[in-house]
Amino acid sequence: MTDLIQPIFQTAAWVVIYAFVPSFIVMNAVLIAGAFLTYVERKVIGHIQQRPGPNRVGPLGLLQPLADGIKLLTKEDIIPAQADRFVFVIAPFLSLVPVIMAYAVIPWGEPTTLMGVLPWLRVFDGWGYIPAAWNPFPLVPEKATLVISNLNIGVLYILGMSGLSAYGIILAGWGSNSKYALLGGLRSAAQVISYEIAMGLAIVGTLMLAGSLSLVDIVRAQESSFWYVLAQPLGFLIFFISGIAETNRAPFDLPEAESEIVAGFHTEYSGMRFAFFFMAEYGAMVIISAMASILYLGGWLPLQLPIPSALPAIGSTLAVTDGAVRAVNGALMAVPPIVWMLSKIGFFLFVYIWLRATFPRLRYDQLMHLGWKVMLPLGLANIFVTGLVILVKG
Amino acid sequence: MTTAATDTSLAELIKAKCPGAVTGAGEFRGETTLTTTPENLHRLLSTLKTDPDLGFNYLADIAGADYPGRSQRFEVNYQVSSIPANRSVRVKVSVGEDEPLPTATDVWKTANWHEREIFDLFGVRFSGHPDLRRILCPDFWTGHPLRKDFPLDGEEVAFTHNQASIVPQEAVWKKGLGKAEYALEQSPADVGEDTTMVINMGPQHPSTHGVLRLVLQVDGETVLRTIPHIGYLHTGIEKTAENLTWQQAVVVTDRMDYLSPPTNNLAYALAVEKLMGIEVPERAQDIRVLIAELTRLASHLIALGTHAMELGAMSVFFYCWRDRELILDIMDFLSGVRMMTSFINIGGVRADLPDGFHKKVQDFLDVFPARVDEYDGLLTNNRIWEKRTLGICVITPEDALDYGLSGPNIRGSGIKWDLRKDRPYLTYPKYSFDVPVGKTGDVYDRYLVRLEEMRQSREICVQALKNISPRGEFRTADRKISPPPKEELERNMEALIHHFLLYTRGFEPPEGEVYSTIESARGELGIYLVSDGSNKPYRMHVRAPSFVSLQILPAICEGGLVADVIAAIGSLDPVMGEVDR
Repeated sequence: MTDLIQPIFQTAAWVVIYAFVPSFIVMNAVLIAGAFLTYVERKVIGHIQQRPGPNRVGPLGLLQPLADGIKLLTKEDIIPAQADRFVFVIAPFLSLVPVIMAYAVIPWGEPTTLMGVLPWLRVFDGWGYIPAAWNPFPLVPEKATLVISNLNIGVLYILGMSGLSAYGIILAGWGSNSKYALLGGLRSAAQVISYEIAMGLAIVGTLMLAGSLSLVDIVRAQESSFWYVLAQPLGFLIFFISGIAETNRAPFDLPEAESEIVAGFHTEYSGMRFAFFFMAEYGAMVIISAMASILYLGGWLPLQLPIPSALPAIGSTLAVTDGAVRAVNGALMAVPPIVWMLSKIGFFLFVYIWLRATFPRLRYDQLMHLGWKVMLPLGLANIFVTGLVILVKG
Repeated sequence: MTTAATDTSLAELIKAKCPGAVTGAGEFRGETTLTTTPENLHRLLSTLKTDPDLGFNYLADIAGADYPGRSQRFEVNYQVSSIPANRSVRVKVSVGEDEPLPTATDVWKTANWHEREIFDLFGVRFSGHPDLRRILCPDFWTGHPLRKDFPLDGEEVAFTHNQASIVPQEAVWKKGLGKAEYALEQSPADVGEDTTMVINMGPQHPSTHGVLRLVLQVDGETVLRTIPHIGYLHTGIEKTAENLTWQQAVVVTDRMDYLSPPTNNLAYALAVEKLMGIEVPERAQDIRVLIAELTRLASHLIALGTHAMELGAMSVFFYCWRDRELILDIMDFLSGVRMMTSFINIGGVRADLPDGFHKKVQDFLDVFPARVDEYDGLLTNNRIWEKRTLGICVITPEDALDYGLSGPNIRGSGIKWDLRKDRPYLTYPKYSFDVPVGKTGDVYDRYLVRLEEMRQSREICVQALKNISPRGEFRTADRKISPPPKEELERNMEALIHHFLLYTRGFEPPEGEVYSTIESARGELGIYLVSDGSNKPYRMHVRAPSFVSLQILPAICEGGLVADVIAAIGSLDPVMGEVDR
């Protein structure tokens, strides 16, 4: 009997330790962060627009996301009489689930012992309550890379997931049986397809440099050379602009352009179903920001200034000494990797919000024009030039 | 304004050009009125427009009036102008209850909605009109509200003793709304029905500037047809004014264009003053100029802000709102009311300026140029803004005239027509300012015109503020019109009598009719007044610039995208309170 249960128990423990615990942590962190992102967005836009933003619920309005959550949870769940019920109900899930799944491959930091917790867990015997043969704790790795799964096709996986989430939007538009929702859904379908291509092409340049599709490997490749934003400035721009379009954010927020088509695909949604779309949008924003950080800004790597003497052309003209730069670099090194990763993501999120507060919205045909006639050829040119350079440099 | 002498010769000229059509010519307060008959009306109007010597290319307004005692009870007045020659004439025709009038829509396109309005509110039929439906009242309304015999109380209230005999309004509305209100009125002409979709945009829609409803027929995102429906905010302001004294009616004018109420007061006050021949002290006129220009700034700020927001530039909206708030604070300081000030009154302004007024206005005028530059910087050279507005919804100068556009909308099309310059009123000739005009007549030009007008209005404000002394005359001394000051009441018997009469009966202007225009923030705001010598206006008609300009919307939206419709509405800047009145 024991012979049968023990391996099952061990397998289950393995699944919990390697899949469930990290997924649980990341998923909750993402959802809570997404909720607070709405707060940050309102606060930032508020200040840009010279108004205070949320400041009633809790100190500095910090509990606003909580209040919003409670409100959305307790709202009446309305399904329009003429809606296609099955499609209408399933669409929000189809929109949110792929976004959350995409987080599985995002690396957040270096392999770490979690401040000594992991090695301690490995020798933990459960205070003697667990038989030594059953003890799951030795399964805990000594050092863990902060990623749920270091998939060797991580980039492809994320592209696939973000493509899938478009289904949710299209089906929401179709299932609502409302004209505004339908228009929003159609716009979104066209937009996501167009910009996915440009985005994919922009990434190819990075992949050629790194020689891997794994996000962890891409960061490692940047550790040994330099941040790819220096080698791929054009690719970076295309990626980020396409990313904004991909997540339906201003100035490409046509699928939900409220002045034209009311609220677009989620016109008919209310309560938690509406919140799902919202969470999906904010989750996707974080994904794109994380991707931009990993692919172009070296992920969790700290910023390192170039040593003046290593720059033959301008090094001697600079007024700083090598020692000073080394000291600064040392200080930057001391910042934990995950803080670097999160601050890079935070920077991109701020840019997202900043853009929304600044720019007018493009028109639908202009968006398509930009996607197919500007972004796509530029992306191809970028690949060509990158390939040429790699070929020449060997 | 043209002098009486040339007007008489103008009447003679028109008589010669269109023999037999003019049955009478009159002259009152410098306005020429030609009378004609229904049979000759169309001939006269087309001669006025097409004859090269006359060239009356602009139909400003058509106003109806009801005189139940006459054999031909209705009177229809066409206010026709010639924009290059800057002269205008009123064509008056009387028509009986069952008699149709020939339509003027084939002469000026703008006649369309004016005629629908007269049909709706008076029941005058226009033969040959392409789309003679009710416009302000619902399709199923019974009766014509502006007829003098239309019951003032409206619907009868149901009590237990009479509920059997009353048709509940609810039932009428339900029955009416069940009709094809939501479908297209005419079947789609030459487009396959299977590929098109009908979208009902409004009256509850984020970007229709209030309760405008558009029925759009779209093929994908391309707009094939646009049918505007208005009247959701129809409050019967003209009818209300006819039942108040002249002085009281000032208050209802506030409610028309609710984004620039003082300008409405001004238009009405000027019309009554013209009717009565009142001279207003120069200082009061300067104050009026200042208030009118501040109001124009406030209105243009909202126009710009909402326009930008609808195209997605959200922050501009908040910045504009911030600056408009400063103007509303000034209005509050001046009159105690933020919006519906009724500060401009018949005979002058209601009260003298409060202490510290100059400083408050000066503070605003000092910060304002930087603010306009900020909007300019955010939008003018913004690539996305240019893409959304350049070459979009172009109005040609010919169309602009044909549709009777005015204000920034006609100037956007390159026609330099500003009533402050061309038909000067108040003390505008004293002030130096430019009239900006556009080149192509697209959304971008109308935006630029408004932006530049803000700078020019500020210039006028600066000059006006210097002109106005802190204390002085602020209304006419004529005790028949303006109430005596409080100190006088305590000592002077005559003042007490004036005060009593003024507040119980009001004043009685002479019999006559005038059409007075001002340049409001939206264009030619005209007030047509008829006095029968009593203490109430016999008829007040408002030529609302938004009402007229909204009419061009279907023409400029056709073939564009849904997003362009939004840009077009924003650039035409209609205010539904004024459209529906």
